[in-house]
Amino acid sequence: MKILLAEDEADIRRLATMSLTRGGDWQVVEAADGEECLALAQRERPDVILLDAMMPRLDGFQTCQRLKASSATKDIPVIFLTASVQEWETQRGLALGAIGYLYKPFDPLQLRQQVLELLARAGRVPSG
Amino acid sequence: MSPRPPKSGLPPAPQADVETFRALLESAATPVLALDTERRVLYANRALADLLRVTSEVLPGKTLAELVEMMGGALPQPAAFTERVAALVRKAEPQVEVVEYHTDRRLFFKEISQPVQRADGVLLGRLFLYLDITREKEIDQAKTEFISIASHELRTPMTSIKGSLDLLLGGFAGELAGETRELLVIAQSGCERLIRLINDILDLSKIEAGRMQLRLQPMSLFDSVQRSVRTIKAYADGFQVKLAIDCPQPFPDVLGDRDRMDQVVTNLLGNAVKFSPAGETVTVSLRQVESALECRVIDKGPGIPPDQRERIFGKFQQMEGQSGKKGGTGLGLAIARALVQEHGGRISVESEVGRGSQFIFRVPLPPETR
Repeated sequence: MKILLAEDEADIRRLATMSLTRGGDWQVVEAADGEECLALAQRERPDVILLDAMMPRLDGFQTCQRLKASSATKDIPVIFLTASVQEWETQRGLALGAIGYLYKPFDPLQLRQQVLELLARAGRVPSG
Repeated sequence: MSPRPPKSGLPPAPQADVETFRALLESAATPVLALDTERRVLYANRALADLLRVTSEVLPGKTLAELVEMMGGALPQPAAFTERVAALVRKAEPQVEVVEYHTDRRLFFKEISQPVQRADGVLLGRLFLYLDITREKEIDQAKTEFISIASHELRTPMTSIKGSLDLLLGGFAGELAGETRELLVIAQSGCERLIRLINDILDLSKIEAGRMQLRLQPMSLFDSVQRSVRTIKAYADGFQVKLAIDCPQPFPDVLGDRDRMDQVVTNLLGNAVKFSPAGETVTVSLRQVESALECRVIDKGPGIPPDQRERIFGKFQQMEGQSGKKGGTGLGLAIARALVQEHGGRISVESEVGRGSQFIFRVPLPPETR
């Protein structure tokens, strides 16, 4: 499975990548902000996008909006990764078409499983 | 009898006449309003007239409805204000309310009202004082926002620290030698405690700011107790404390937020376990009491002295002599109380020093199931 991870904090990016690739067979493409995420989504056609909500310049919500507005990327499931626990923020992400939320601090040993569960719940069967 | 004190040589205190009283009230910077029992303005001082942007002479004799009309759109809910104040004019009890008032900015007043009685006991009406608490409200709001942002910003570095420790302890970088593992477990447990603290502070600030949105739906309090017992089981094992549920019959559902109700029961259970001696049992009992469901969390801990029973529901409060040793955030009971109150319920404690404590909360049953 190919995951596009958009996260502006380098440490968290590294940690999430380690957690997701742990056990092999998953590939992670990293983006450091929303703009890069949009470009990589077009080029790499990932199976799922993990999107940090708070990023400089183009934040996660704006990025999600643009992903959903483009015919090339609108069908890629988006999962928000956020440090916020504000209810309105969750509602906003879901309203923009995200399939779910993962909260920081995440459990690196559970992250893969949680991504799979969210995909299954949204009826998106991961491709390998 | 002791002899009377000698009279002073000073002249007697001056007797204030009506005009003097009026001048006193007029000079007060706090808006003052008096309504008679027919809800007409008996008196309004200059500060109140200034707030309403009228001269104080036009106010006496006006009805409450006319007064509210003069306020234009300044009251966010004029009908509710009128109804509440109208009901107050014949009441004998003092009352305190917070009133919002919009001029070119949002003002907040603490309305303190009391009945006005003549010396012979005849009720003349009611006196309302409006203390401007806008500044306090603004500071409180800034505090809430600060806490929210700070908690959010703290989460990001916590994610890096906890995530790295979890991966190391999960064997990501290979087998760990005994002492290395032990030290990493200590760091991990400190990290988890810090995250609990951040979550608790955030929860409490949300509740205090009135931003806790409960997702109310019919739910079983018994199920909530069962889930909480499962959640706390491993923790209780660590203290060698047993858990028991005492629920003799099925009860009707209450209207509640499932996750938040679980949080209440889990907080109370965690607290009870923490203060229980090894080998003892913590029991959760459920009963229907009048028109409410009552949940009791019963421990056989050291008990709480009477002077500390109210204080333990405060923020960052732990039992004297126990502080820090038990590893809590000191916010668990404050959050439990706030959440129970948000559900329209009440929480209290009964305790006997040396015998144990019972934390009791009641949640009202929906009217059709009582």
